[in-house]
Order: sequence, then structure tokens, then C-alpha cells
Amino acid sequence: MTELAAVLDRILIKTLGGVLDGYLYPFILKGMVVTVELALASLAIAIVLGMIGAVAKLSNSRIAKAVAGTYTTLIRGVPGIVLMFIIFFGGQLLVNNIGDLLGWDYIEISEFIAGSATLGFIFGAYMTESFRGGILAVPRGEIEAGYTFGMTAAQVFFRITLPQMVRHALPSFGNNWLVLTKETALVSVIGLQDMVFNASQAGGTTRQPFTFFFVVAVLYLIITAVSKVGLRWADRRYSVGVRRA
Amino acid sequence: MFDLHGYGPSILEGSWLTVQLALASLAIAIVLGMVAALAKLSKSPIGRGIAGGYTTVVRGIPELVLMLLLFFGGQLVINYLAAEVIGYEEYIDIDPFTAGVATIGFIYGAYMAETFRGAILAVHSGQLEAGAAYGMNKWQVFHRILLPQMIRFALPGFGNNWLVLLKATALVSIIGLDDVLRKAALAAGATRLPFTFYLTVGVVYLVLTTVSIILLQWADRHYSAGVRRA
Repeated sequence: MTELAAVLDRILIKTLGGVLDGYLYPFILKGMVVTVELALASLAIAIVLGMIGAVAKLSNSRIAKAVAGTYTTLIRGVPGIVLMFIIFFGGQLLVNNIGDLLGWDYIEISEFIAGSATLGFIFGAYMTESFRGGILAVPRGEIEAGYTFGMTAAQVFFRITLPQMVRHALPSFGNNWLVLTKETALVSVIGLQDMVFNASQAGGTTRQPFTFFFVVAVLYLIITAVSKVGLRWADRRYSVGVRRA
Repeated sequence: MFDLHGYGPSILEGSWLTVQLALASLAIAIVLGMVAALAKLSKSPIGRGIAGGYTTVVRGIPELVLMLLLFFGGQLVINYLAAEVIGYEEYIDIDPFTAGVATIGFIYGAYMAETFRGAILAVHSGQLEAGAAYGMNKWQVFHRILLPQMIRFALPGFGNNWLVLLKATALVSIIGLDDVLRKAALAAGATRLPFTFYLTVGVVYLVLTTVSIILLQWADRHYSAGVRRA
């Protein structure tokens, strides 16, 4: 046991010392900024799509229900990386085919936009289900009371449904956020220079892939740990006035 | 449906590899998950500590990163250990299939651990005590009383994990395994028809998940025999 530990130590000291110095700041940490930006941009898109999807699923319109139902079923049944390829390569073709018809020049979609659009589109489907559950948890009487006071649908939504559904949606929202953060690693495959991409470059150059992927793994753990602190704060904030079980 | 330009058999071959990979990973995940769940519920602080560390760390790191870490790093560590400890000097090459199965099994073992832990807790402890009172040993109590009853409670979470695992197999294409996604990527590159081929892969996965859901529903009915529906 001590022998094994000594061997692992030697591997780590040999690799983490020296080699990392030149690569940590310019590559890995810059990649981490891209990862965080990408995750936040995707989250914004996912929240908007998820909200629309949830409202559509709960609406009386059959067409809206069918569209939202197809969206969530299809997206949740296909791997993220396959969707990313479809949207990145296929989307590029589609945009340019439409552009041809309208007489535009060739449009190159940047990896960042393609990545955040894809991730946002995927997690919009998961958020739809979270938000739907959150909306259903708000007592029906509260919403009816809003209408009786003469509020419009928008007023009822922003004043009554939204502030109360946040508390119910938060736990699964938090889960989705953590999964989304980790899914950002996939954008390295379409060439966006996030921290996984940079780590594999640095690992290839220095022939120390273990070191760099290990550092990236630790950085992801830091991101998720910080997220958990933020989520716990939000949970307390939105549970004000509710008795703890 | 689509014109696959003669790449149909190749895609089918890749799909078969995806299925094999998913099933092999599932077997490892079930074993690891069961061991970790029992460790988490055991009285041993060391067992609990290791299982807790395993589930926390694995569930906090992206699958892609873990896969690259285990594929490249694992290779390095195994060769280093073989050379330094045993004195085996020849280079050991881990093939992508083994690496992929080991990695996916290792990752989903952590998720299975949580599912199984919940299911074990849902079995009435009086049943287990009754088994012990009849003079059964621990193994008998486990496979006669605990296992048949916990399956029913574990199935919904197990089904979710299986569907996510199935989709995670797409990642092995990155470490060079010829799964359905890689076959499609090669075909897409050669024919310049990415949309056609990636869409086909999407359909393949939808078929696999649909078949899985049907089988899971059957298993759910089978293991709920004698239990009244809510």
C-alpha cells in the first residue's frame, strides 16, 4: 500500500512540478473562462426555451403541447454529442442553404455560438420538465385569485406563478445546471478551445496527458462545488417564510 | 428513408458495437454499484469513506474528462506500475473497447450506487431481521430476501441510468472506438453529407432507447407481481 502511494507520488511530482508552470495560466485557466462563459450562455438559452416549453406543455393548445412534447422526447433520447454534430455540421449547411436562397454570403457559425446554441437547445428540454413540475406545484387557487383581482395573464405569471415556482424548480434546476456544466466538455470535440481542448493540446505537446486531464478534473470539481454553494444560497433565499421539513 | 450511399452496413456494424459496449459497461456498473451501495450502508468507516469519495468525485467530473483521464492516464499508470513494481518492460497497450467499457462502467457504477442504496433502504428491515432469525447467513439473506425485493424499488432509477449510459457510449468515438457515431463521422466526412449521417445516428439511438423503455416496462410489471398498483 505504501509502495503504491510512493509510486503515485513520484508520478505526480514528476509531472505536476515544472511542466504545469508554463501551461496552467495561458492554456488551462483561459480555457476555464471559456467553459464558464459557455455554461452561462447555454443556461440563459436553456432557461428561456425551458420556460416556453413548460408553458406550452401546460397550455390548452393541442399544437403547442405536441410541439413541446416532441421536443422533450426527441432531445432527451439522443446523445448530446450526436445532437452537437447534427446542429454544428447540419446547422451550418442549413443556414447556408437558406442563405443561398436569399442570396447571402457564406456564413461561418462560430464554435462558441454553435456550442452554446446546442447546449441551450438540449438543456431547454430538461428545463422544460423541471419548470413544468415547478409550475404544477403552485396552488391553483393562488393563480385563480390573481385573475379575480383583475390581473392579466402576464401579471399573474410574473407576480404569482414565477416567484413561487422558483422554490419548487430549484432542486432539479440545480441538477440540470451541474449536468450542463459537465456537458460543456463536449464542445472541445467541435473545436472550441475550452479547458478540455486546451488540456488535450497541452497533454499532447508535453506527453503528460494524465497531469493535464487531472488538473481539468479538479477545476470541474471546483466549478461544481462553487455552484452548489450558490444553489444552497438560492434555496434559502426562495424558501423564506416556508417552514423546513 | 435516407440514401446512405452504401454506408448502411457500416452504420449497422457500429450500432452493434454500441450495444455491446453499453451492455458490457452495464455489467461492470451493476457490480460496482452494488459493492459501493453495500459499502455506503455498512458500518465500516473506511468502506463508507471510499464509497462516498467514489460517488462524489465521479459524479462531479465530466464523462469526457474521466474517459480521457482513464484512457491516457490509465495507460501511463499501468505501464509505469508494470515497469517499476513488477519489472515488466514491454509496453502494454489498452485497446479502446476495454478502456471504454472500464471507463463507462466505472462512471455509472457511481450512479448505480446511489440508486441501489435507495432501493436497499426501501426494503423493510424487519424482513431482513426475520431472515437472520431463521438462521440464514448474510449471503442467503442478501440473495433470497434483499435482492428480489430491492429490484422493484431500484428499477425506475436503474432505467434512467441505463438510458443515460446508453447515450454516454457515444463518447467512446473520441478515443477511437468504431461505434455508430464514429462510423457516421467517417461516412459524413467521405460523402460530405453530415446532416444525413448524424440524423441517422440520432434515429439509431432513439430506436435503442425506445426498445429499452419497452423492456424496462416489462421488467417493472414482472417485479411488481403481487404488489397493488397505486
